[in-house]
Amino acid sequence: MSRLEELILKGDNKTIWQKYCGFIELSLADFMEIQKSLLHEQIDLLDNCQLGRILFDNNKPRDIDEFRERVPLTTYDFYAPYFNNQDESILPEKPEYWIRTTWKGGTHPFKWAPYTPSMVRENVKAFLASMIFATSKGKEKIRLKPKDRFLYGMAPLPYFTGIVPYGLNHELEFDYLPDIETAEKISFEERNQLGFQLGLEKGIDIFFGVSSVLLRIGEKFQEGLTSSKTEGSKKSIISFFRVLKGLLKSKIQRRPMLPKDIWNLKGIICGGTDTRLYKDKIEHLWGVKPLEAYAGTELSIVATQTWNYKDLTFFPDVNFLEFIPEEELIKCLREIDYIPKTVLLDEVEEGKTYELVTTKFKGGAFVRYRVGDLVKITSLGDDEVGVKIPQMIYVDRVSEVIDLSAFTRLTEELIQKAISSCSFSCNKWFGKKEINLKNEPFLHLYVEQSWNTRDSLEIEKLLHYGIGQLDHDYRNLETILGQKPVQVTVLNPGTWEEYRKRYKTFLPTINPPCSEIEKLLEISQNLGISVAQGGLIS
Amino acid sequence: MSLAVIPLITFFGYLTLYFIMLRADKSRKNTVFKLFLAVMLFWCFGATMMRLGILPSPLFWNRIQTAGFILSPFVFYHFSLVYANPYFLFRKLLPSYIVATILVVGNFTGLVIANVNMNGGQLHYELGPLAPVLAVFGVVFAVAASINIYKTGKQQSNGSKNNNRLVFVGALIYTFTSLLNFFPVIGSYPVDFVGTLIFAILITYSISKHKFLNSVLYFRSLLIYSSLTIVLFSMVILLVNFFGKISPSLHTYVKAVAVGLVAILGYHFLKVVITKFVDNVFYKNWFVKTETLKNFNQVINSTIDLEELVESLITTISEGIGVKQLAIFLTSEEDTFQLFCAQGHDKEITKIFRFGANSYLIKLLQSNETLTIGDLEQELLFKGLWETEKNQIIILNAQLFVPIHLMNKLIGFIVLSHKEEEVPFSPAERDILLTMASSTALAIQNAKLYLAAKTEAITDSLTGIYNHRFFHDSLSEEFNMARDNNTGLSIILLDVDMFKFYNDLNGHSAGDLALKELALIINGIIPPGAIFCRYGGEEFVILLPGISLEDSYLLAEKCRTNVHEKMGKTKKFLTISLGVAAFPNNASSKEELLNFADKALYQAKTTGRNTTVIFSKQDSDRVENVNEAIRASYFSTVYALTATIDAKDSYTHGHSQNVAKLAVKLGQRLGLSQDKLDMLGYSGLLHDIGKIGIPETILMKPTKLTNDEMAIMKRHVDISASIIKYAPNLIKTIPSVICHHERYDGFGYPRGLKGEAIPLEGRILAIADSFDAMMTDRPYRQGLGLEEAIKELKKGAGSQFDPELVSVFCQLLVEDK
Repeated sequence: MSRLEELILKGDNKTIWQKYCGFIELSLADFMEIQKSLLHEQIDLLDNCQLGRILFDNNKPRDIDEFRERVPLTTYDFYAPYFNNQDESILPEKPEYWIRTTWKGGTHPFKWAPYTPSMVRENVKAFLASMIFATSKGKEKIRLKPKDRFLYGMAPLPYFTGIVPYGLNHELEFDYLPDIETAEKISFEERNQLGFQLGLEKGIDIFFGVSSVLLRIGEKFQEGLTSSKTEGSKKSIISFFRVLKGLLKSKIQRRPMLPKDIWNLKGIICGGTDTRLYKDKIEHLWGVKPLEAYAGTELSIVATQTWNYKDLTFFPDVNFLEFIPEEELIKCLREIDYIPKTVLLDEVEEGKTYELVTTKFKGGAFVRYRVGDLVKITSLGDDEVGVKIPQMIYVDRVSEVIDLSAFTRLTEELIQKAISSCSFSCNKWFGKKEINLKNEPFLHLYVEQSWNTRDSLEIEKLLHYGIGQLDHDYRNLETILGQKPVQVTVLNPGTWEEYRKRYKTFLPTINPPCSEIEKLLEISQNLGISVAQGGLIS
Repeated sequence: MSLAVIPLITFFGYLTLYFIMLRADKSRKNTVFKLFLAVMLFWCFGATMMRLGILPSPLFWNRIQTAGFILSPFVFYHFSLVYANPYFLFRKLLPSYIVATILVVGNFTGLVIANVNMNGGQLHYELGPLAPVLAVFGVVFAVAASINIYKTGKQQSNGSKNNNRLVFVGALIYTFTSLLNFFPVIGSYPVDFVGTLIFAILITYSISKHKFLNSVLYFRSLLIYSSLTIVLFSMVILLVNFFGKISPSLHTYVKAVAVGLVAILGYHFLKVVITKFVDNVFYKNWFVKTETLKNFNQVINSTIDLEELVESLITTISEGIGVKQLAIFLTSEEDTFQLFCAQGHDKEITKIFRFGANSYLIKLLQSNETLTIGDLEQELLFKGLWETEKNQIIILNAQLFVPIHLMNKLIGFIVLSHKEEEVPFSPAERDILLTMASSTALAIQNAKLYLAAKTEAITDSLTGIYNHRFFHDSLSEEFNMARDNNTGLSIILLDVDMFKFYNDLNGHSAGDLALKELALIINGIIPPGAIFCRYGGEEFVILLPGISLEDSYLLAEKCRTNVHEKMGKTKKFLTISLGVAAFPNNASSKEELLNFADKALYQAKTTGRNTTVIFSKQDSDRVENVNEAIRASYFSTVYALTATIDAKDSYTHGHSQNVAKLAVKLGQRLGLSQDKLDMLGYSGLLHDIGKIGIPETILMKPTKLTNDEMAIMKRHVDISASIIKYAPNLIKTIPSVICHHERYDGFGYPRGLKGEAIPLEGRILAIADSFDAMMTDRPYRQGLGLEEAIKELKKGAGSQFDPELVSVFCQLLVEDK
């Protein structure tokens, strides 16, 4: 089968498009047919391994319906005993890589995900589709080329994003800034810094990284080219001319120099849960809209935007997709033992929010897996691009964690520890991820003191310090992005008690529904004058 | 005017090349190469017009010609860079085009060629001040381009090396002859066009012969007709010139008619000559291939053997199309497409290759069109192809799929890898392959039917292994071969132990299933080359060519232990006995070989079963004597066992003997043979032997047993069978012992057999056992009188007991009263 590089050299854009991006032209029926065909293969593979036999209770499901009826929904807790030891004997196929991610709030520091060679191949193909969309101006208008200068601002192996450069080598050769070997030896910050220094010398065609980092670097440019850009750089003539060109451009337009004045990027691909929030600013700074891809360690690449940068389209051949409707999730909150029902992609409804359930194809290990992500189906297709597959956006994590700018995930346990370490009398608290007026995500804590001794600003300071002491990634939000992402609203004493009396319902501590927070605020107001700070934006 | 012929021919030469390149793919290097050809056309066109004296002036056409001349080395250099690396940096090229632009501008201002005139068809020109600059840069870039092409060729495969060498030589000739233009004395003759024509011919040859630029070229007719046109055109000009010279007064019409006549007469002759030349130079191999394909039709009509047919199909395609690797998949019984035959692939890897009927590949091939790997990759549903199937496609290095259809049904397909020349399959080749596949379809189907019939004739229908007939055919064949080649031949004869009883106990269908399972187990153990056959009934034979007696014994033991373990796992508890003999170790003929293996098997059977015995003459004789001794020991064994149970349950003391006596009596009345009467007696004695395994608290319980206790009590039947199993030659008692609690109406235990399904001996024992139990005092009741017992028996006739046997038994009792 042809490599992407061969096809690019031949100029066979039609084949490239069909092979990598053609899935967006699938009818929903064909999309489902691919899903079902690959699930049948996966069921066969699972039936031949211990993991599958446990999940199937030694009785292989005969069809997809039986699979959905009989196989239990799983979470990482189920896999942890096997995967923490990287036990390959129970898997459907021998993995090529064991990929890890932090498991905040879990029983172990990391979650591990096995990746088979064919999973890696498909993952790379999906990533290339995103790259083609990010760099093309329309259908079959391929702009990717061998030796494109690629600023790869993501974590190396054993993190998920580290697979991509290795996999891409089989398809297309890039000039990585810095080269992979160097990148793996240095820290995240150093990598980005060195990458941009090399970018000044060589130029940059493609960027893949965390959107918040890209935004911050762009903002630093706006503030004036800082030492971080040039420090330690070779200051070659080419980079001097590049900066000079940028300066001239910015002077002509009578504004501070922006990265887009220096570099003429073909495309940007951004990961991270909050990319949507930053995309306009990134476009302003870098001259290119960032393309958003939805991916995760256990999921690999699930969906991507296309060249019109609107909502995301699911990949048909990476995961078998099931969706738990919101109503079912509410039932789960009320009844702990309730097993929620799922719907398939051809059953989802426009405008509704669902929790994603995935079964990995190609010998992957996760089966009917609840990674804990909420997605919203925004429409049943995209007429502009001609997509007939339901479109999605990422909404948030399901209750138990708060993800901030893809830098950190705060758990109930961590926040509780931080609160306990601060000297104020907390009776009850709720944490919710909200978006401020600058379009930045932050942790909004609703705190009820036993008695009102401290105001919200005081508590904010204490908690910001407290969380920072416990979580290094949280501290990076300030050091790298310059954010202080915590805000506190103080609820009057007795609010929680009154709420319970009135509504007699369970309320999750992390990410409770907005409607319930509004009720709490209303009760608090009725109980006395609150010292509220900020408000609910989303 | 006649000198105009040379640039004109060159013009047509480059025009032909340009048309050829229009058919090539639109890669960057092909596009730049087309640009180079366009520049050359510009040059030749200007020269032709100038030498023909076409208006407006020779100077005008010279400027055109010189512009093409100036640009040609620079564009050629551009092409050489793209050829080496399609994504070279443009800045490398920038200086060359700056120089070219300056020179072109200089040309139109008279700085390259100062003046031009044509005197009697002779060209005269004066060089301008920029001419030396052009000479230096032109040579530098043309030579640099030639070196680039040569170096790129060296890095490529052998084919490319050759074609690049030719292009390199052509480029040097073109550079050298172009350089001659800077000497106006020589340049007044179109020497440069001779050089560029040679260059054009070498490029054309490289394209055709070595697929220069990987172009897909099917330009035979284009080449023939364009060559014909060039030759005819030149001939006409020469003739006109010739007639003009020899007879200037001749009327124009006469000249025209004369020229026309020669041209018409010459046309056919020239066409034949040019066609032959083109075919010989460019298409020699193609004709060889066509012949091979033609011969294939004869092959498919002359064979009915599937393997031979498919192999000849593979050979024909391989030679005819020039393919490195190919594979043929045919439908199998399970509705899948199984790899039947492959060439150039690792057999071990590909032997399990198959595609399911629901595979997308199969769905796409239903359309009866050939499918390239590119077509397949472009199919949106390709993403749904299973990974195992994708891997197969990758391992097979598939480039083209050719379906084999019969009556609109896909019966197979051919997978072809790259062609030897590493160029894509032409539409003509794809058509030929499709035609070949269609014409082979019926022959393949017939051959498959023939193969199926042949296989059926030598296959045992139950187990799927070879049958008795095939064994004897193979034995003769293999024995002769072993004798002639002095390689040795071993035989393992194996028999399933106590299979009759297994059948009696579990029914014949269960017995059949057990034989199938056993065949499957052994099939998985025997080495390649071994011939495994069902000899008859529950007897099997393994023929082992070239395997020593020791290795055969080890294999036999492996079979025995595997059967013992695996059959145990599926609760069939069957074992096998095996006899091994070998030629030339202990047999000198095939009859002896079989006979000795049989004797060894007999020995294994009579010395405890579940064992392997190698034939030995002394052991065989000894076995005969030992058998007598074993028979004599039956009775002592039986009595010892009976005494054990009688000692355990005082209430049943003497019960076993009574049952034995009564059963034998009834058997005698029914006219059973002595053998059966003996076994019936033993069965009577042993029928309750399993009570050894029942707790005494239950056995001796004075009150009625609870349901749980009764369940435990019922187990004594199975225990009896398990104990007897280990007593050689008492095995035959098991069916009657295990059935003595079955009821005629099917409500008995342990298996709930009904009516005649209960063995006769079992039905006899049931009556004898019940009668004796009725007559005996028990802790919880007094024994019945004879009349009452007879009454009870009659009451149970048809429900508990066989009514006919009850009638005979009661009659006996009355007679003995």
